Amino acid sequence: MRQQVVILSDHSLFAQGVASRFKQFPERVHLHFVNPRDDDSFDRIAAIRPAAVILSSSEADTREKCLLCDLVSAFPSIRIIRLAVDQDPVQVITSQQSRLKEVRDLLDLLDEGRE
Amino acid sequence: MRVIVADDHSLFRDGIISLLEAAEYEVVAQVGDGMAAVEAVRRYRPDLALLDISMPEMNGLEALRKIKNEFPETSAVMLTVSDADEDLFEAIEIGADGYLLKDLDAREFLAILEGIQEGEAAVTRKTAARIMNRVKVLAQKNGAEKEILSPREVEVMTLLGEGLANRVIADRLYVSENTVKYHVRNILQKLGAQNRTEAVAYAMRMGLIKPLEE
Repeated sequence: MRQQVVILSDHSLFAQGVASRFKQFPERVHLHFVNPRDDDSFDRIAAIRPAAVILSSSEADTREKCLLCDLVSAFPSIRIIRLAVDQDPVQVITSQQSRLKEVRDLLDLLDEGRE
Repeated sequence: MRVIVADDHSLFRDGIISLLEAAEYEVVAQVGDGMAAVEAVRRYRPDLALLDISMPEMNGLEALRKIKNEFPETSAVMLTVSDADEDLFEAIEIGADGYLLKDLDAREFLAILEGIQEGEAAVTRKTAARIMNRVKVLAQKNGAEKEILSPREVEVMTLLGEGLANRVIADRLYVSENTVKYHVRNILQKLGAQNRTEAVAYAMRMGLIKPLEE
């Protein structure tokens, strides 16, 4: 199944390299480039409703961090994949939503995180 | 243009290769360490080697040294995250044909690589400015050192460079041996040298005195 994926980048070498490789798999990925510094970046990403956002910088600036927080809030199942040129393992950031009735549920949730 | 790509960051390497191939470069080998990069150059004789600096086994600067020693005609460009002056200037001293940072814009990267085929250095304008500043500082330092030594000290330094003993230098300059010792002491102090051999080597390197002709 073809996934909508956003690359948050201003045309860096790493991002363009990954994008170039993705082009060989059009049946799996529909790629969109969004510059995180654009004023309408959140709206553009929201309209795409991506399954994943790829961030290609080692240190997200404040604007990007806010944008990522907004995205996770708006799309809890979104995956954020952070590529860094100075470290090989990529970081995958996921979120989850839970409905809690009482504080005990919250404690259980905290315990889950320790497992 | 036939290219090898040496980088231990496999995902980055894969992306770069994809970009290069899309721009019709022929990537003849990809490797993840400096030793393998040298081997790949020996085997494939590429036109261009793109080398990361931080790599296992042998770092990119060592690999560059070996590649340039054996195949000076192969262009070698560092592609790295290191913005450190010592890496940049060491690469230049070894003979790198370019020094590019990985946060470069992809279009600029490809444009710069095209320039290599025209004999241009593969550097951004920002890096070119850093290199020019460094050259200026070295030139000023060189001039300042020439000014630091008095004309008499330059004469003594030149005779030291000929390997003459204090007594002989004293005779040549029609001064006492103690005066020569005094000048030598001042020269060592001004050049920050531990002994006269070090002072002579330094002075020759900086162009303060000329090496003896055979």
